[in-house]
Amino acid sequence: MTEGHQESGGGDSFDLSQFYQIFFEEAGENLDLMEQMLLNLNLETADDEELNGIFRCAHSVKGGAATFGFADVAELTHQMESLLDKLRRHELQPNPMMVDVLLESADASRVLLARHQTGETGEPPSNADLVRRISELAAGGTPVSPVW
Amino acid sequence: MPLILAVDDSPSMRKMVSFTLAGAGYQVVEAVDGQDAYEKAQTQTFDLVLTDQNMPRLDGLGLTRKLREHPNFKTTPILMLTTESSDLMKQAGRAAGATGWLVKPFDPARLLEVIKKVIK
Repeated sequence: MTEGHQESGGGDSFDLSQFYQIFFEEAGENLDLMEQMLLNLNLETADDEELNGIFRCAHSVKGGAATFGFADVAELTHQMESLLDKLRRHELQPNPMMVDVLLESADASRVLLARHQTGETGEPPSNADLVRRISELAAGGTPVSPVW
Repeated sequence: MPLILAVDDSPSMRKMVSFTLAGAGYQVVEAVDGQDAYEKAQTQTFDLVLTDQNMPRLDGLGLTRKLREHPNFKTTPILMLTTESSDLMKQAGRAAGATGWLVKPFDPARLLEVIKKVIK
């Protein structure tokens, strides 16, 4: 593990890394479930239960990542959660671009989690463009993908 | 030994909370969501309920409202432990009958300090 996050509990410090494995498994299951729900989502008839379910997956990964100190995962899933929160509150109507960016983000989150799990060092992949696109969609805009 | 009902749909969070509470001498019963917690509360009383907000089936605010209607839980301390931090949500928590609101990321020392303050 590249990052250890120590917390102090009741005067005694304990090492959060003893809970990492449970978190990695749980995060993987949440991302798989979110992906499945996104792929099955009918954009015209998406109901509250489906949208809340997808939101909870992102929310759960974000909460754990923040707790365990995996800041890059927490940041990316926080952006996903913000967009999904607007969808579940019906402030925005889901569209194919949103589903695509959320699926892409789920993949990117898996890559980041795998790096933490294996303790991989080196430059982490940048998700700046992904984060920008999610925020633009959450703000009600239409992001322009870079053309290289 | 005080008995605490710890409610969270995240297995890692449940384990961490239980580990922290057990280390401080509390007995813990875990519930996987609000509905599970409410069912457990039908057959057992607790000295404190510690609950997440966003959960399937029944969320933390819903659980709090239902527990407050139950004669055994009129005055039991109910603490929310959630990533939700908006004033609006906190107000909703207060209106539902929650005793306190703790924001994740999880801070074991702070949690134990608050529990010590509110538990009878």
